[in-house]
Amino acid sequence: MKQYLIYILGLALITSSCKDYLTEVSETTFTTATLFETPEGIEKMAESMYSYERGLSRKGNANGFLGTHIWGERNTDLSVFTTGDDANLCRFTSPGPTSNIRSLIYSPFWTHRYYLIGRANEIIYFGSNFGEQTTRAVAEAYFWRAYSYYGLWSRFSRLYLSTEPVTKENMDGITYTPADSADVFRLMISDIDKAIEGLPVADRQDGRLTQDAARHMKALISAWTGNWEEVIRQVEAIENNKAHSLVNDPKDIFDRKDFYNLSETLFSLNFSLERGGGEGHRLGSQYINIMAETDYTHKMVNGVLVKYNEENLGRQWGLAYPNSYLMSLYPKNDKRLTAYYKVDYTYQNPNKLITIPVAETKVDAQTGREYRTTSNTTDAPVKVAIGSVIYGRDIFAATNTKIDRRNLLPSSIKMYDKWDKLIDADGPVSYKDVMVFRLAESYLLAAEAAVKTGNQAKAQYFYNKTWQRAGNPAVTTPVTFEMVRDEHARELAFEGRRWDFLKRNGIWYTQMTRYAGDFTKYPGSAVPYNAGSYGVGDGRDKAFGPNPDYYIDFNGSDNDVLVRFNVKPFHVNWPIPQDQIDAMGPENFPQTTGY
Amino acid sequence: MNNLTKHLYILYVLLLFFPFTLSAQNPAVSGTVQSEGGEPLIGVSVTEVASGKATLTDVNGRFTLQVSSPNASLRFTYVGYEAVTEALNGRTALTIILNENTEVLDEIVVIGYGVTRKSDLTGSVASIKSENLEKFPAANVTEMLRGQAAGLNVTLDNSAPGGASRILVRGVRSLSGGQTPLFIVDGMIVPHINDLNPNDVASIEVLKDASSQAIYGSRASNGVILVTTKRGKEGKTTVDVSAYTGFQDYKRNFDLYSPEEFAKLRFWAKYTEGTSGVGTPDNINYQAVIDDAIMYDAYQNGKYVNWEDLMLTNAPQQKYDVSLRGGAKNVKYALAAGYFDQNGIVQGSGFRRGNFRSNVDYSPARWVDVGVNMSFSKAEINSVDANFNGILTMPQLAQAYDADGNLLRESTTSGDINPLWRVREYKSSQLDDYLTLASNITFKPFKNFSYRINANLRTNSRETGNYRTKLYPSSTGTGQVTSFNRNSFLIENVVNYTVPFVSTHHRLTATLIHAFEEDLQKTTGMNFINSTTDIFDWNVAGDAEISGAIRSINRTRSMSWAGRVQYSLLDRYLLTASVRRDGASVFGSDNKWANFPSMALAWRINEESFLKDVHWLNELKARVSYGVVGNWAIPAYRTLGLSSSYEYLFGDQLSIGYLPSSQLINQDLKWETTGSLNYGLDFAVLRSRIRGTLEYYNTRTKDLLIQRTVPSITGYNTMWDNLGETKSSGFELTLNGDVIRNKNVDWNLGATFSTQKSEIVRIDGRTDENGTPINDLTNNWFIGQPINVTYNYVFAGIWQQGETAEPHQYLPGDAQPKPGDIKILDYNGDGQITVDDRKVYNLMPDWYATFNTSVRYKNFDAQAEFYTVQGVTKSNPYLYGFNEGGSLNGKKNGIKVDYWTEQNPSNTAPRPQFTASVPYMGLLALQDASYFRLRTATLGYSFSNKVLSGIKATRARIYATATNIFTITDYKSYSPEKEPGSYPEPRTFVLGLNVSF
Repeated sequence: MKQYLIYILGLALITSSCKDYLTEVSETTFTTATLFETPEGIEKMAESMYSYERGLSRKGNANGFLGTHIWGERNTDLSVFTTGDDANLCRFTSPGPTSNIRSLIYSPFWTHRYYLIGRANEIIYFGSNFGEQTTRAVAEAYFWRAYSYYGLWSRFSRLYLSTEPVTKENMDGITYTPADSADVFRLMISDIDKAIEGLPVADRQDGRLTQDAARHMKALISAWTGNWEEVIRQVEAIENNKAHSLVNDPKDIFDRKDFYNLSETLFSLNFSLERGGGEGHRLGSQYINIMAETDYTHKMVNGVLVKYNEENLGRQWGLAYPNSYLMSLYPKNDKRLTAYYKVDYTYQNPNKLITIPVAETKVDAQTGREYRTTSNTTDAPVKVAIGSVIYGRDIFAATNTKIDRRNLLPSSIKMYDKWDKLIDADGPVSYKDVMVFRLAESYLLAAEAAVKTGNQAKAQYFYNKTWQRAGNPAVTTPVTFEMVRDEHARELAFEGRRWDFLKRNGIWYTQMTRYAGDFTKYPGSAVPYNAGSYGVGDGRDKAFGPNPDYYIDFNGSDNDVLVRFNVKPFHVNWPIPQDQIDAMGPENFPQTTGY
Repeated sequence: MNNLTKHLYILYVLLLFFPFTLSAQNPAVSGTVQSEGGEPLIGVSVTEVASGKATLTDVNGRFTLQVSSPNASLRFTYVGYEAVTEALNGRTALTIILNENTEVLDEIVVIGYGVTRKSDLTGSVASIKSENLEKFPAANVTEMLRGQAAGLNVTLDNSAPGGASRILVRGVRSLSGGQTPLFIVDGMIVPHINDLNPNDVASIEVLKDASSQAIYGSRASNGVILVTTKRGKEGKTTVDVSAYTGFQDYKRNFDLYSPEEFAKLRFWAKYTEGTSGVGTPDNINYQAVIDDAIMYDAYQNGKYVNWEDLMLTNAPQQKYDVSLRGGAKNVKYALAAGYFDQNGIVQGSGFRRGNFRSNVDYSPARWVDVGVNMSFSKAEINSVDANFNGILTMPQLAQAYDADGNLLRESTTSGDINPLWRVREYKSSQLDDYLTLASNITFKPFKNFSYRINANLRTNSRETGNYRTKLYPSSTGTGQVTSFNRNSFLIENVVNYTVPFVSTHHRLTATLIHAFEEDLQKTTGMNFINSTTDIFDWNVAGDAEISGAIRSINRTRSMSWAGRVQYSLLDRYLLTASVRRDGASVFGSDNKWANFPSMALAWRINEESFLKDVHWLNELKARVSYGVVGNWAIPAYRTLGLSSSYEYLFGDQLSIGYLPSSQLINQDLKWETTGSLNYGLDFAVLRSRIRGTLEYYNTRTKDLLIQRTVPSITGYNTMWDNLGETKSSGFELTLNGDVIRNKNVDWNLGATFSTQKSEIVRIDGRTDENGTPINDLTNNWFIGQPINVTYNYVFAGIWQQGETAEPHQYLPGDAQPKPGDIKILDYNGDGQITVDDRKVYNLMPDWYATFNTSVRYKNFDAQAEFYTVQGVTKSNPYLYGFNEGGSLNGKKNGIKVDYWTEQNPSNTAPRPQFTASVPYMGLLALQDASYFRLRTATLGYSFSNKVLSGIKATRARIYATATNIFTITDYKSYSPEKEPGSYPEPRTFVLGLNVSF
């Protein structure tokens, strides 16, 4: 017994007298110290930036409302969006300071961008110790910093400039006051110059940043400051690098799963179902009809009815669509109409082959505009066949029921992922790459710059790059800014590029009042139509007023056009997230005027 | 450590086989022991003083004992009665009458590292005996504790089978640090007590004030819950068998829209937005309104689906326990086994648990005692798909089954997934094994001195798996399997010394403690997709495509030294003082150690000469204590600055990179400390028939461990920091009265009442330009306000037709409200609506109370307990959220409200809209969640001795108990503590039997 006692006592004492007993050691992952102090750590951080940025597509919440807000062209002149709290926000019904929606959308964006800036600061600061070993990582960090500040500036127009790593020790010395805009642009230009210097020219076609992406970024920043010569210089430098080139036919741009290996892509975010491919996103599915009507979705798989029909793009999510203004910008035979959109849908229900009456032409009493009651232009009723293109008006004429507009609007298919989409999936998740910058935009930037500097030869040269590719005859007449504006919409809609184009050119508010949203429904209680006053006094474009073609095709909503009525000039800046104002102190960083 | 375990195992096994020796032949004495009323007393311990030989009285109060001499003295002891020592003087038969002990308060109470007489207690300790726990049949001990002690606030965490409740001791003090009390079972620190079989519990002590907690120093600031399990006693072996069976059902206090009402709602939602073809209020075109073939068909044919009926069911449950306790002079043992099986009221959910425990105490020699406790429990929880709340939000205009009775995947034409389908195609289970081995050796080399070593080991191995079949929406055969292992050990060296004063006026005991412990958690898990088959659920993970694997380790360690003296002067002036020095691994290298002192004084006033003769006063004790305790409930590794890994595919090349987390490192993190002052008054009057305790406490917590918001422009979002100060205070009253106490009737009344008030005193010291301290709005921390609040506008009604909203009547930046929209109250009365019109809503109760009564009439007994919680606000997302069916879109079903239409100028709920939502609807959801509940009622019958002797039992009782019988509350849900869509809190009805042999 006594030996036993000694044994236990001894054991107790030995264990307890261990000097390092309370020292904590990380057992499963790197600590920041290891990351900052080795070239490998710096490289690991640089590689992670892509993955972190990719996460933006899922932010706000798992539904990715922030992503769809940005890429879905919400609050631009090009889209009509449907339902949900995020739609409420985009309609400017209530941007009240404590509205959850507001922090849901804007706060994660602010936080996301500054997280990347913080990491870029650390890579730049610590990476400078390792010379050539970290050249590329540091150059990428300069890109990320400029890119993030540009993203913040284009949305908020006010920001704090942070260029050094922050620690607990130096944090208390920070005064959180907004930076002078000249300082912001000076830093962006100096950063992007360093990025251009350090990034490789050749496109490895693996999605990693190259010099052309940085040059494109510099063109965007320069356009914002009106330095048009610089814009042209950068775009011509990209052209001379010959690392990227336009795809010949618009249909080959987006009809693919991966963008990183597309010659036209300057910068994209890679997604894949393979390991490392991320958790997927819901961009794309949010710009395609939800399509739950059996008549369009009917499909038997192994004897079971699944509501997923590839021909009509399956069952998607349907939150934002091209509006009638955007669709009106395309000439009839523009190749992009079919390459970028799904406009016609086909009948699929073999159990209910309806008969479509002969079309009548009617005049809408309110607007005086003509519309046709069905798509049957023959002189006899037609029984549909599986695969017939059919419209909401046909279903209405045949069955007296209307289809919800989420089921039958034109859809943007730029982000449609038919490769990974699960059959009959609910809550679709896509693994298609997300386009950030492509060469088409560079050329349009150059065209815009050439118009601004009065160099018509260059303006036509760059304008025709995309215009002609889309199957249109080359423009030989003078190119105007309005033409560039419309070509920008035609080429880049639903790639998240519209907001900063409109804002940069100071035309955001006028374009919004004229065209934003759509009249999918009329008349209604919310916005009484008055032909006399409508569109005259307050800048709205009469031609995009109540649209009988929409309200014969489906049940729309008055809310779809509310944005056009509620928008105010100050909405061109996003409100600074209230939680950030609270954290920085309203006395240091007050809210943007208007909010 | 392994060797130690091995040794203890061997010792333990030896003990199991140790022959229990019995003594030889000698003269026999027999007799009867009765109460004053002449009732035979069962189980009275009869001991021969000289030899220590003992026996117990049987059901007739009779005993027989072999004594060593005809003139021996016998001592009769019985709980609740005064002990009697009787010299035999040659008698061989005798009748003893025991008087009820008026000082029933002098029970033994467990305190940290020891026990004390209740009368010697200086701190605030609530002691709950097993009888009180048994009143409420629940699967977990935590829920049983509800209402059993003043200052103890238990709330539901998860009412699903196998779920647990949360305990708060004296409210909240910490802002981001943990709020969970320290659980100690037979000396071992455990993370929770969910694996414990309630039947094994002998008593639970709640250490409420800092002076009693301080002996646990470092993490006692949230209170300490000490659980003591039943141990064997010397004497005849007793066998207890108990069993109950019953069922659970549910009750909701809200209405859903009926199918007709739902169609109406959808009409108004569409009509308000001007959807064409829906008709007019007088002539509704339901086909256009419903606009869904299946739903319209259901509407026309009246074939509705009652989702709740299809999903919820009355769920059976049963519990069986058997225990064996007894012992001889130098060995005592208690063995217990139990089994609990509960089906959930949501079909497919359930909980099963088996427990085994053995506690053995052995004294091989006078100078050494050995104790070995072992417990093992195995539990299985099956849970259901979290989307089952679709039963509330799915319109009843739907189709759940096709004509052949097969479940439909989509129950409407627009493709809403059938909630029953999700439940059927989802499986989830958690298997837990808990093993605790606690051994101790006490050496008593000389009188008044003892040295004890405690070695405690606890392991929890858990496997969780979930699987969504290929038929589950969005699933390709997707699942997850995780294995979690938690190993903890605690080694303590405890030295006790009682100073041998010559005078009986002084009693002084000193205790020294050294302890060290480790808690190690390891998790390994994988997620998979594209399973080969649905047959094997998650167990086919190996053949599926692994989409992610995780591995995590979390190790915390601590080391402590502590000392305590307990001093008593003249048995009426009591002092306890302690100090503990603790080191914890989770803090920065310069801040690992902290000291926690405490002192408590008590004065037994009734022992003073001027009160000695006041016979109606049996006890009056005043107590005051002050102590400091700590909190280190923050995750491990916060001072290291960990990184997160990020995967990316550059082309086909997989890259794994790392980035620092969004939490800024703070290497200066240190302990959160709470100083607490406690005043207490214990009293007992009228032969102790009225007993009570009144307490007031006042605590201040500083250096709060706060996960503070850092402006994102730093590149980080949060940082753990020690900031600010909070205070809390409260009154607690416990009262017990024996109204009637006689042979045939006992009637007892009891009540507990607790108030609590918390307040944030300081946050980070920042002030605005006027010098006013700045609140932390992100975290809802307001100086001068309670800790747990929400901050929002106040609902002021609905905009009506004819009213025009002027710009000063709605928030700047908002669109002009329309009739049917929500009015915001001008809360600060400045004549305009601004951001300053937000109100602080307190989410914690102001007070809570229990009232219980029990009656025994002859062999019948009955008891009832009422419980109330008052002054608490709780948000109900089912009154505004879209996914919860609260946003009046007419798309989902939901809690029925009196919504506004042009024909119904309601002032309580806004207008429906099909595609938009009304701003500020969330204000409607802030409901008063105070409630009053008949928590439990029992009716029991104990069989008479005649019946008992027939079955050779000493005690047998059957009973019926119902719980959560009715609840009065404004909060619309299945439970005032849970949202409507969470797992419904059940009502339980059981029928049980207890037999002792």
